[in-house]
Amino acid sequence: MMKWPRLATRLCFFFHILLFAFPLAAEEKLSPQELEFFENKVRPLLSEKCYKCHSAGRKEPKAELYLDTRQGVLAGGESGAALVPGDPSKSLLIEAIRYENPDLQMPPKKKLSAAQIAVLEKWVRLGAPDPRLGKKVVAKTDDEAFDVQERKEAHWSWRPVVNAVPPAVKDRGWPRSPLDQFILSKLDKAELEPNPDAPRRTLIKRTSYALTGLPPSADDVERFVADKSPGAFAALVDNLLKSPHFGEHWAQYWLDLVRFAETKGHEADYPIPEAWRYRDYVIRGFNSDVPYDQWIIEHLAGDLVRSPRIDPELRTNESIQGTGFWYLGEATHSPVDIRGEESERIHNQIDVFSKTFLGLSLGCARCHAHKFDAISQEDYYAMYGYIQSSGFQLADVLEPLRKKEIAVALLGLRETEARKINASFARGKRTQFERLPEYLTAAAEVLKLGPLAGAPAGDSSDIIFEDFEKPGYAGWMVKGLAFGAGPRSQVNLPDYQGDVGARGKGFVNSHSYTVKGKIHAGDELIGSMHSPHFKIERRFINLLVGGGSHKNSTCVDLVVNGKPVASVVGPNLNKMVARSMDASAWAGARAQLRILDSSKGGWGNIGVDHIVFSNKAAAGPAEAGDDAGLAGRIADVAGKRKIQPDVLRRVVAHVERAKKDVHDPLHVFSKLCGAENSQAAVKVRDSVVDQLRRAEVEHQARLAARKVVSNVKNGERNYTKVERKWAEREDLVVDYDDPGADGWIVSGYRFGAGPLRRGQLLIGDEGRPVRGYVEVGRADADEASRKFYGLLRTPTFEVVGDTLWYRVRGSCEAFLAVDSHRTVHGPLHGGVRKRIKGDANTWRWHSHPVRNYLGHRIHIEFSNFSESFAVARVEFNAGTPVDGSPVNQVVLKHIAGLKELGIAGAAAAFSKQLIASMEALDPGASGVGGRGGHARLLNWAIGREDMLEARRPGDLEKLVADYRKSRSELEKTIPGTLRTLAMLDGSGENEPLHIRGNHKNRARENVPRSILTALRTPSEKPGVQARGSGRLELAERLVDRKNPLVARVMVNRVWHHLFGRGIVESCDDFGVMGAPPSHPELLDWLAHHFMENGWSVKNLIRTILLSRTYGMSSSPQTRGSELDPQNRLLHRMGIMRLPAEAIRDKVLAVSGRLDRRLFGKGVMVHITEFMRGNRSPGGSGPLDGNGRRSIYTEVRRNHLPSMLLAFDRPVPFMTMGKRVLSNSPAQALILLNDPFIHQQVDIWSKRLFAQKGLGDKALLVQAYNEAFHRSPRDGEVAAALQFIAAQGKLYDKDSRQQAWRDLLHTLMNVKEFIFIN
Amino acid sequence: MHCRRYLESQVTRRQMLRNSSVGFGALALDMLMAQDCAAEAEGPLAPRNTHFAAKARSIIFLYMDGGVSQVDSFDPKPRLNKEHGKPFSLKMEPTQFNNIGTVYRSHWGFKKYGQCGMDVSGLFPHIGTCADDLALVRSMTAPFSEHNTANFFLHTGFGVQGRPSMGAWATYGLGSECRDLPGYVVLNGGLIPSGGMDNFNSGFLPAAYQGSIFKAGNKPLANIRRREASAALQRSKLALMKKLDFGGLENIGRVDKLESAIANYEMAFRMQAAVPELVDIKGESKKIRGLYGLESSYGPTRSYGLQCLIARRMVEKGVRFIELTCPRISGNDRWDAHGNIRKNHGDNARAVDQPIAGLIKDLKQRGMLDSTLIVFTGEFGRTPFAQGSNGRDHSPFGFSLFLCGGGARGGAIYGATDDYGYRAVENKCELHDLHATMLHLAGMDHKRLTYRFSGRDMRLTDVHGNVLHDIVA
Repeated sequence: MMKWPRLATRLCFFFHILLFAFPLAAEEKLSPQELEFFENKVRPLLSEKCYKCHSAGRKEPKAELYLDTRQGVLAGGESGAALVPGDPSKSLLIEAIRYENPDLQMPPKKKLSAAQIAVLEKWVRLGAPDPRLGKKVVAKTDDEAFDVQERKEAHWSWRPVVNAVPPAVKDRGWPRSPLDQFILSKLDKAELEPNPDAPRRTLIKRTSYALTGLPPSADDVERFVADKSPGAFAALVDNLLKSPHFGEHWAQYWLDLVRFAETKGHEADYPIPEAWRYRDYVIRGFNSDVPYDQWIIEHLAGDLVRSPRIDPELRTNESIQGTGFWYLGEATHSPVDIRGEESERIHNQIDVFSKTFLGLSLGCARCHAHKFDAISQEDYYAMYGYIQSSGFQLADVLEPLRKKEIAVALLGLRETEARKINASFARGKRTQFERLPEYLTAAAEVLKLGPLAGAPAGDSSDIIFEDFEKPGYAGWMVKGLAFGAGPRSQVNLPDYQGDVGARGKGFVNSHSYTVKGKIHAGDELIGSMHSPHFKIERRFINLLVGGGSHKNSTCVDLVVNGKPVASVVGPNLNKMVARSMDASAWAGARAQLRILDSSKGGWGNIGVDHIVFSNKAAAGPAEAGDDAGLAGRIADVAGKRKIQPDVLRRVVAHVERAKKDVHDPLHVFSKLCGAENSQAAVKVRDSVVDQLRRAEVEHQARLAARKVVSNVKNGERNYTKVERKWAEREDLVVDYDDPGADGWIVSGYRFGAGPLRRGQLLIGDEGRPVRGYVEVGRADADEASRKFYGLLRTPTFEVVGDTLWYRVRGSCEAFLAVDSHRTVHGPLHGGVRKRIKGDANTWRWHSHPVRNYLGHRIHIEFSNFSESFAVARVEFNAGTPVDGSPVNQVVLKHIAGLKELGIAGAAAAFSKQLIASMEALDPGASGVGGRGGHARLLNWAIGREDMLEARRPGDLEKLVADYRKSRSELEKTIPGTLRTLAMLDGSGENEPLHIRGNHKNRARENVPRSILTALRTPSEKPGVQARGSGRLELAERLVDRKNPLVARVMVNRVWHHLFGRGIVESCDDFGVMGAPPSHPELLDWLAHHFMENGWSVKNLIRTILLSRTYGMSSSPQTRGSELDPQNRLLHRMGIMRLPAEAIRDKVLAVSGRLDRRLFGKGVMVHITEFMRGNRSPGGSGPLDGNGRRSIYTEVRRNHLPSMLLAFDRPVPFMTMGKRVLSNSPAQALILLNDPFIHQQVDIWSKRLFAQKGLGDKALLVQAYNEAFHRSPRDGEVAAALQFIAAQGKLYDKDSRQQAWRDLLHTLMNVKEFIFIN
Repeated sequence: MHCRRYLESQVTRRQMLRNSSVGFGALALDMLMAQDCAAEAEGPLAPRNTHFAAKARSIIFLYMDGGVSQVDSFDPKPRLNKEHGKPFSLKMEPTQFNNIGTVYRSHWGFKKYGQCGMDVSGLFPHIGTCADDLALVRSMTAPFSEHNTANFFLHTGFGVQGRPSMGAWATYGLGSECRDLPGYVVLNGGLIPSGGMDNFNSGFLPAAYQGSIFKAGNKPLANIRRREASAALQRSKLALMKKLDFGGLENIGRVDKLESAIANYEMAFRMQAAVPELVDIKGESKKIRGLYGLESSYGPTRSYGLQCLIARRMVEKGVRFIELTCPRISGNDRWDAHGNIRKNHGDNARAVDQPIAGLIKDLKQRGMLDSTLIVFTGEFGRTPFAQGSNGRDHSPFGFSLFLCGGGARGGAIYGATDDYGYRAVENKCELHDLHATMLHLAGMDHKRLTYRFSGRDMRLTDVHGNVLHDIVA
């Protein structure tokens, strides 16, 4: 650039500032230093390095970015503002010049020097002081200049289909159908004569190949040739349309459109599961003549149609199978740029969709508005959203109606029976609950504490009877060697015993006495110790016991009148534990303690310490061991109250335990049992309420403290850990307690009609008729029937944290569909699949690391369930997620409301609460809050059935048994599954524009999913109404008869296949760049006729075939060849080469090897040595493909059959409505030398020769009829016979047969074999 | 040998037929067998005029399957030695295996070669001696990090399946100068690139432009050997076929499609003779065999040497575009050195170094190098930091390749990567630029070489590509 003298520069700009009111002067006056810096450093740099592409001097500045004005810099270009004044790290310009972002590196050729970068960084840091004036020149970009409506009006294919009136023609006798008038009228104008009718032999040949792709049988040919009746041809056409081979032949054309293949190509060529079923669906579809509008609806939204089409024989859901076509494209297995791969996949899907159904190249609008057609870039991304809103599944298609019926029946059965079962269950429970207070008060009596009757009044303090702190066993009578001479202390115990937990120093330990200087290893020593006699004056004898738990052999017994009446044993641990014996039954008696070690086996020892007489038990009754005293008291109380002692024992144990657990519903009761008076009782209640409230507050605090860890930038390696608070809206993926309408996405019936709701009854089996009630709503794979197929998926969401958590019961596989990628094999994406293993009855949180996918949009699919599976919640979390609150609000409310605090009152109130909860969950009950709490309380009670009196026999068992029986009978009728590829509608997703098609550079605003602008009315706003993707709505609008494209494109395709060239030559492009129609009125007449006749493809074909035009001869005529050399006016029929598949099929048919069976899994492709390589599959298919038609040869993208390829079978990557017709030496080499051809010639010649006694002439006639459907002409007979004679001479033996074989091979190479006239 | 190359005006079969008073019938069977150049069929492979004077008449594409490490071959980076074993300090892009090791030095020392003083590593001592003929690019980039997409991109200019390969584009644009061999040949050394045969397909171009897969051996091409016991047995069949076909023409009428299908058999028949002859190297001298490494004790060198030699023979015959795939070397997965790069690159380089140098020298001594463009490249380069402990992962952000002969500027060194050899920082270019340059050297403007498909005029370079004039002589 020209360097201005510094002074001049400065002056110049001061003038500017002075002369013009500098627009920014008010807020930002540039200091002289700033100005100097800009002019000396910044401007020269910008000018030298940037202006070339980013200035008004350029006609189309790159990326619409102008760096030559201040406004241009601030306004920015396609990617947004070029800089943020003051913040270099947020400025795109700086990012670009630092070459930080590989997709944004400026200047593109060479990075600026470090010093130059520093200048611009400094400039931005200073706030980008910039004196430059001038407005950003806004170029009239393509997009702005472009008007969809204008373009639409200007191009023929958007105009409505009109019911064109057939034009008048000179020779009224010629036309057989209105169709012919359109053809003849054009010929008239060109002063051309149509060719005469083709010979009947030619006609049947032409028609047979056109409709079935197979040769006609010799009989059919002769019969037709002989049948001169007027309806003969129509009858022939009808028969051929009825042939099942019609569907095979026409399906292949369709498969070309949807780039059908059975593998995904690329590195490993992974299979597309069940793809062949789509092929069979297409064959069936053409054979059953599915109306074409319905065909489109099935392809776009067959999974969403209200009543799917059912195949009458297979009883499969046909409609949903159409959607499989979306997934027949390529896919890679381990993309580094997973979103980039998605954009390629979706690009292909959009392109195939728009070309196949609309004859439009919507794919051209990926980067910018279509250059020529009425398609905006928004239209492309509006379609993108539809695909992102839908996912892949292997849907169960077998007997959908039957399954639906059964599912509905099962659901209905469950509803009605659950009501009955619940009523019966509630009746029984009510009785049980009503009896509970009796037991609770009895338990309180059993546990009632206080001074022992007969003890000295006024003194109830503990009496330490023995603590073994003296050196010997003074007062004790010791027998045997086990106990040695006196108590042991921890220091002289062998180390292996560890800390035995003694009080003080000394204790009894029968495991550690030395015999001859060695610590006696075993438990061999035995012995006993008897205490001095004492009087029982306290309720309990508390002591520490360790060692073996052998009753009667390692134990401490209470001995009264010489007989042991109570006993405790150790815990099979050296460490001693507290035990208590209830001695109250023997109050005042003279008693003695006996320590016994008479066991020699394992744990044949005992430890004892700290024997205390007390009115309080040191251990609860549950731990009290074999306490004859407690048992006695329970028996007494039970007897007195006439209640069941076993039940009472368990109630006592539970009440005792409940003391320690504030969340136990009986906690408050157990505490109240110990209250001395009513004041103390109030305190107890208030304290419990207080504790529970605090627990709730703590729980809320834990919830509030939840965090999510993620990094700053998406998908980058350089990971910056960022912790932020958990947010319900962002971080909760789905909560099946309340998933909302959009959160419930399933396929199949296994998950029932919706999540299990709180309070629902879980019906059990005979042993346990009721399993309980649902506490928290969940998606449950067990409630409908395990015989159903089921897939559960979440809505689509963005990965915002490092770790996903699933609240799951049982086992399953969780699959992350990241940017719809699903070809999952290592190395990069193995982690998207996670096997979750858990117990069928336990809820657990399982984590799934997803850090690699931060910022990507994903959904999760749950499948491959174990016998039992349910999921309640999916969320992001940094630590372990927080479970539900430990506080049951129903219980809390109950406690807080307790008025009667006496034992009897509290017991009655508890029973009432249980009954109230029961009623609250009655299916008939309405508007009851706290369903979950009631369910939880009742489940607690149901889980403690043994605390209740046995239920009186009622009808519950029978009801449940009947229910299970009806249910299993219904289940038995559930048909098996047959799964095939299909779409599953997901949550509605929209995609922003990718600026210039770059998926890494996205616009800010989403483009709403919508049908093409040009197919909307001008006033209509884009967008979809429906929930989910809205594909059905889209499909229904596409087939609206007002859309002119669908019918025109399809009739043109049919015409193309029948005549070898479409009325519009570019079958897949009806746009401006496509060819204009040669007969536009005819095209409309056909389209109109097609729609009027129920979109019947067979009817359309019939109409065309019965025309005079189709029946013309194909011989070139002199005048026609001169005036219409390309035969665009159809002055004659065209000559066509058979398509690749038909050539191979014909070879098989002629040889006699053809297997005419329909359908089934493809035959593996024959891998020739030239296809074999380091990546080819193991093995190879048979050379002759088992004689099956070509359509049944497996289509592996990386190993396409070479013979078919050579004859222009398209590579399956894009819609191919019109195959290239090539002529290459490879074709000749195949027919001359390929082993398949020679194999078939052998079969053919053997078959011919197997007929005995035929002369050369007769054989030749037969061979000609089979190969060419005619007899040989005289010259041909002569040539052939001459050949046989001459060729035979070249062979030593079997010369005639060899010569014949050569002749037949030659016939296959004669062009008439593969060309149809 | 280039029988069409020097004909001023070309008489096509159709013109001949039109001019001939007796029409097609006069073309006797002898003509089918004849070696008459003038009778060549007009067709998809007929030579076509270039957009401007071509420098390269043939292109040999040496595809280094799996990706050669730039820092171990043509782009020396002393900094790697200094920082060996330290964490990599630049910002890293995600890699395929995501198993990032530390900075990893090269096992091979670099040496300056030729007058240009080009640095070439110890991997390629033979190629080094050709330095003054090489135009080295050190700043190539590719948009994909996985083999399959990168391969499709390298071969077709798109990262997806089904596009025409550059060989197909070249033959579509230029036709073939060879009447008895295909215009586009892939000499398969045993490794089929990731993505399969579609790297060599004609995509939406007619099948005539598809790459023909040759194997170096007795049966080089599918169906090329007649199955008849003698030539006479086949010839009589063809004579009968011809007779019956002509009868058919009289009966059905003369239609282009039929006539060209008939003519097609001529080419096929000639190929039957020409192809075995082509791969029969009995006539090559011991000196030449030695030059190509056919006497090497290392099997893969012999095998690649044979491919290179046959490539030269194809160029002599006028084959337009020849791609060589790498030989299979047991224990190595192509150049794809995710682990033990020392063995991997050592073995692979040993296989190709001498044969490539031999090819360059042989072409040069025959005066054919000026009109034959050789391109040496993988689908991307490799990371300057280790994968695991001793491998390198894929890295497409700056890698090296070279062009040689056919108008490429010998001794040129274009572009540079950063100090680690990780990213291109100077004269960064992309594979579209390579394609544009290759077409340019072959006399074609990449923007004008189009084919209408799918509503668009498609190009090998899509909407991209700049000719790298700095490496054009």
